[in-house]
Amino acid sequence: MTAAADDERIHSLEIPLIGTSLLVPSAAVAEVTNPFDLHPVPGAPAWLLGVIGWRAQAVPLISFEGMIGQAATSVQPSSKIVVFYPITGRRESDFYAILSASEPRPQSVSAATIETEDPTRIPDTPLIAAGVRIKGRTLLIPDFDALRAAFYP
Amino acid sequence: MFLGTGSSVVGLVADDVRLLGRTDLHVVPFTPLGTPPTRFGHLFNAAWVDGQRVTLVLDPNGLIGFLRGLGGTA
Repeated sequence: MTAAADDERIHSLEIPLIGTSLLVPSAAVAEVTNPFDLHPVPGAPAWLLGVIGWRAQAVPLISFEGMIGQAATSVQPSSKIVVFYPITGRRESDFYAILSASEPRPQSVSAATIETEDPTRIPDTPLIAAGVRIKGRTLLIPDFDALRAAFYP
Repeated sequence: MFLGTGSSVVGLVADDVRLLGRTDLHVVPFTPLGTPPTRFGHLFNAAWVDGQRVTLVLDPNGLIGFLRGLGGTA
């Protein structure tokens, strides 16, 4: 790998979940906000926690833990809502949100600061594209194509 | 209250019904995530958003499909 590639930094956001964390590009995130009125969606899967009114849009809030086979989480005093821009190919109004266990943390990652995690140590689900290690901690990178397939089957 | 969709009509019993003018509403497209609960699709296809308050808008086709799945006819 070249020195230039080593120096190439990607501004990312670490989203703490229950028992693990996600790592996503900051450019995919529209806003981080405190939880507010959550409205249930009858007939929805357990991982769809409800819908929030945000910037005049109805934005679904999901439990990523619930999507990868763990117990769906619920809003706690320390929770934050991470609102994502629509996944590629969707309507410009199709924002969605992930419930974070606590305040997300910015991470500036580069090839020099990141290691690939042992695949046997990450959840066996198509929703995870890869696992990485930063400063000794494992972070999961979601597969947005798989997310789109799960969201809009 | 009766909802019509194509050849099907479904009646809902409600304790209270308020008629609202179109200009009173801000209805936006909304697709619930995940697999639809019926083969006719999701129960909702839009939402009325008023600040942080959200009221989901029923999709008549999805609702009728859901009711049929419960054993009813329409």
